[in-house]
Amino acid sequence: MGRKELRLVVVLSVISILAGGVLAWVSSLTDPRIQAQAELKKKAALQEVLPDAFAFQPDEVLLEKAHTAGYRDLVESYLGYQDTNQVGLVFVADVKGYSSTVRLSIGVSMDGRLSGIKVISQAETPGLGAKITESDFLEQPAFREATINDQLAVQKDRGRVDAVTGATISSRAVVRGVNQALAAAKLFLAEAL
Amino acid sequence: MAEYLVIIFGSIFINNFVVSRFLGICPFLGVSRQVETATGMAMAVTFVMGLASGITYMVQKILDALHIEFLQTITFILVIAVLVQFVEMVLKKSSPVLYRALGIYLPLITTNCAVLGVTILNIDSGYNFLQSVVNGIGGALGFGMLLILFAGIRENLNFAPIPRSLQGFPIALVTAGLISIAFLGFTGFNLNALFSF
Amino acid sequence: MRKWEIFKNGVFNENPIFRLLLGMCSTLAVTTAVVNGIGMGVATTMVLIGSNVIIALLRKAIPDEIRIPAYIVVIATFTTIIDKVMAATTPDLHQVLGIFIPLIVVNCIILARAEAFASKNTVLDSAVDGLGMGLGFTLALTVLSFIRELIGTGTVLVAKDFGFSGITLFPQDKGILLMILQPGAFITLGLVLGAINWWVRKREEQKNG
Repeated sequence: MGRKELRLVVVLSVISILAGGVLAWVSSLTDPRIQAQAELKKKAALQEVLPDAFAFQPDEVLLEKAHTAGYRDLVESYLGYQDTNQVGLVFVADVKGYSSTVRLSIGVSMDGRLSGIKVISQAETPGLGAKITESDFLEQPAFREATINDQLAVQKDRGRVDAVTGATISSRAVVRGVNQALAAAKLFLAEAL
Repeated sequence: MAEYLVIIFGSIFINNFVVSRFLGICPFLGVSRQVETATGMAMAVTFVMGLASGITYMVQKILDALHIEFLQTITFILVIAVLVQFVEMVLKKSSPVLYRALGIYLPLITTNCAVLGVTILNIDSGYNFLQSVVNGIGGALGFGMLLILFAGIRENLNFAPIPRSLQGFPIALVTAGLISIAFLGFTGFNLNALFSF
Repeated sequence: MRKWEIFKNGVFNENPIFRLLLGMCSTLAVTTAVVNGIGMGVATTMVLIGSNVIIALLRKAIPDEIRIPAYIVVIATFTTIIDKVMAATTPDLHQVLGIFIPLIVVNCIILARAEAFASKNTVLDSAVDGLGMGLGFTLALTVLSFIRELIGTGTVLVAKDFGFSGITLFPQDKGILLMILQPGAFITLGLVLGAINWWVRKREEQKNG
């Protein structure tokens, strides 16, 4: 290799090594914050649907049981505690919507009432399906009054849930996730009592 | 098998790279004046995107093992640049005919965001090796199909009476918008149900 | 005075989107809302200034044969830094822009400025050029996203990360949804380009006639 080629290799290597070093340094600064943000977001998604609880404990056994019972859209399950008292359950469900997978968190209190629903992430059609994230839909009476003994459905399917206009498929997806969470909660609460 | 059909048809029709994901717009507008050049570009892109998907999948495994995921962007773009150079060299030596057909498009592919885009999407979607390659080829087929279709339309646009200010790129963009409306019809199409035989 | 000329050149005469038609992918993809457009614009501007400065600084040290790979490494480094910083500080915006943040690397504007300007000019001039081009890019994104967000939703400047719920000018069901879907991106950019062409031609005709 001549001197010229050597210079090419050396210059490119030096630039690459410097770049790698800078990036390692930057990510060591930002990664803890990124992680903290993600955890904060996660906790908020659980807290919002079960406001009485302050601490959440993942429960794999419950999730396993829900899967065996056929509630396969549920992907995570948590027990919610206030101090040492258990105040409810939270499920995270991934349901197939219209153009994306919708991730929901669903809270159920110990007396078997649906305590809240939140859409964690979705990429449904903006202005139509994306409206499932709004409180007009998620906090309607059909959801607020639901208990573990209910099987919900949208009005088109002869149920009580008022679907988002023009977005029946997205609304059905949410209802499906909620139904699975309620049914899984029923399994748990029947055992606990 | 069904799983791969879902990925391929999904990335051709439902999540078409050009009109739904907005990847590869520069070559889509730049190389779509004639059907012939569009076909050459489409073939070159399919080749590179399939290869790049496979190679970056393995590169990502190395990055994960060494815990240097922050080097993803930098290594992927370098892999693509080297790959394009390499393909160019191999073609030049082994198949002068193919090289003459594709050669001039190859350098343009390095900065085609569809290539870097698909490699990152593969990782984000958690695809395995074969799924990544299939997704790369499917995405490129979707890109190529639209590029050729669009070139066909643009050849005819040359004969249409178009206001002077809208000639060239503006009318091409509006046309692309109309194609995009047609493709909106595919969203929500349940491919899993279609291919679950 | 020269600095001002360089700056003005990037923002108006050679506006990357409206005049040079570079960086189309992110332009079409992120202009669904003003905050996304500005976010993308600022991120790209940072990368542009950073890479322009470093490349101008190293312009005598980098041999001609390897300048393109060297530029790509520099640009990719700045892109990753911006990606990380945004993930840490504005997570919602980072999620919305998604894959288009790492794709800043292949935004043709940046490599084009490195090649056409930073490799031949001083550090300060290159920084000004990066700022001008970046602002030109941001301005174009802002105009496009303003049109799309307004006509599509009736509300502009919704910014969740910054706790701003936007200004509603008319109710959403009166909006044209198509504008914030994919076709709206192509059609808006096409018509805005047409309008600019018309205006530029008018001005030239006046000058000559």
